[in-house]
Amino acid sequence: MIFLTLINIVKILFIIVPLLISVAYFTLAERKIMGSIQRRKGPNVIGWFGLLTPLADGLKLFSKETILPSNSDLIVFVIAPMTTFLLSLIGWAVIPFGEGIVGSDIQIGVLYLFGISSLGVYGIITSGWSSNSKYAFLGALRSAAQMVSYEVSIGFIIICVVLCVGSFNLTEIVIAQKNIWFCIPLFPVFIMFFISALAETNRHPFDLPEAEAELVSGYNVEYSAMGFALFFLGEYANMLLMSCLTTILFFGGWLPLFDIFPFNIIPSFIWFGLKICFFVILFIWFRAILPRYRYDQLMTLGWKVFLPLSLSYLLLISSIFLSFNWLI
Amino acid sequence: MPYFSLLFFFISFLIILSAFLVITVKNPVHSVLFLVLVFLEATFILLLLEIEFLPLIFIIIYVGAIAILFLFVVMMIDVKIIKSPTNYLKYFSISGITGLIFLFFLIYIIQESIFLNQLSNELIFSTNYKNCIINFDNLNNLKCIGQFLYTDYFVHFLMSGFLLLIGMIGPIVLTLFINTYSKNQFIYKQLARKYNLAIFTSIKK
Repeated sequence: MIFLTLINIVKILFIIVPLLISVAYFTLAERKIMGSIQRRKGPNVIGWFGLLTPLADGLKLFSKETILPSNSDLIVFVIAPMTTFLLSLIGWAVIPFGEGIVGSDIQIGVLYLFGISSLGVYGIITSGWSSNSKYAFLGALRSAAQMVSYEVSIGFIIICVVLCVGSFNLTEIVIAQKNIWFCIPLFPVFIMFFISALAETNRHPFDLPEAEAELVSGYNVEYSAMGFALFFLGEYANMLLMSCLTTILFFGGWLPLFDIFPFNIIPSFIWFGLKICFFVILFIWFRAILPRYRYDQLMTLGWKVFLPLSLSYLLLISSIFLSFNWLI
Repeated sequence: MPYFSLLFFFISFLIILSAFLVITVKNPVHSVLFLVLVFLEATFILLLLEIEFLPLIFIIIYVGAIAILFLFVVMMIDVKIIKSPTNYLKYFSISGITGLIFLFFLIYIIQESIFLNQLSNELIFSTNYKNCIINFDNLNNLKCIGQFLYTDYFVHFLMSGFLLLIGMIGPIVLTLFINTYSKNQFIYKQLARKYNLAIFTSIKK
């Protein structure tokens, strides 16, 4: 019993520690790539080519003073960043990293991920409310409304993919793309999913919750030191999780580009990592090149464009499957 | 399974505790948060009973959508927190009577239907039921629900869908108010503009 628990803890650590390291280097990659897009060097002082910068950043946040606002709701205020961080970690339990490399291969993995991402709103909305500050509250309201409304279209898009596969299991979804990746037959859905993923993670061009020009920094203004660090880590881990999900649903997970000689000797988890890197770079690229949306435009896009479009695409796919008798 | 039942009773106790806190806590936002906790613990109990599909749907719909709307409304309304202790005993007579009636119903239902059916050996060991149980045991949770919902109970399924639709149409009709004074941006109108029809070209001529 105790031995099994120990093995499970080691397993969990083998997922979480590389995840946190990759989150740290995600921030470095973001600063470097944005630097080169804007024709400057980016961080290059600490370590070789600035490779130790994220560690120094983490150390700085760790050694700062934790400030607890006197008018805040203290218990909720402390719990909120922990919730965000925990929820961004537990989603990784079901992700298949490679052929047979998966934490737990549950039958309804997609639903699990969807449930976790819908719970993610709580960390943000409680942090905004408990800070007892106008800026934080407005940022939290914006963020929660945005996440809830884009979740609807994400749900329909996921159902489109699940209809094509006939299973909620993530591994089976990847195996079903052996002949062709879903990003080709379901191209419009893929585009909608990625844009919704941008909105879901409060990322540019939909980063209204932390619009620096109007709301200082959104829901996490009152947080300092570790509280802020937990929000930061949670946000970036969510971004990585979203790019993972996009990879699994539309880019064939760990499958190689072509199943011929030079491609299929590369191990499956390296293919998975490369595909995640592609989406991470897309995330950064969009932040560097696109201006911010207005809030009513954002809501219009969510409710009046994506929701009808994804719903009608779902109807289209299911009617095609029904008429050709392809349903599994 | 001592671990199992211990965990089960512990979480049931937590559910009752947090359900009690929902109605006694002073701050309404806290009570909504405790409501969310009740939902999560109920999810945990369902997962403990090896039901996979329903608890996740529970999380997605109740916790992820409905409770968030509750939180939204409660946070935006400026609620004054009542300082004076409210007299709970005032409502005790009526709530006690209602509670007792429901308790009697519950005991009646449990004694009449659930245990008696399960305990009669004829039902469990008759071959018809055995085949049925084996059939459904081989399916996974999702397919099992699908088999029942879309065959035997499709009328109930459709009816609940219509009920939800009516529930959605009602508030929309009640609250729909088209403001003709406010200026809206219509992207399709902006895109449909043509150079020839623009004002400055007509002035030029």
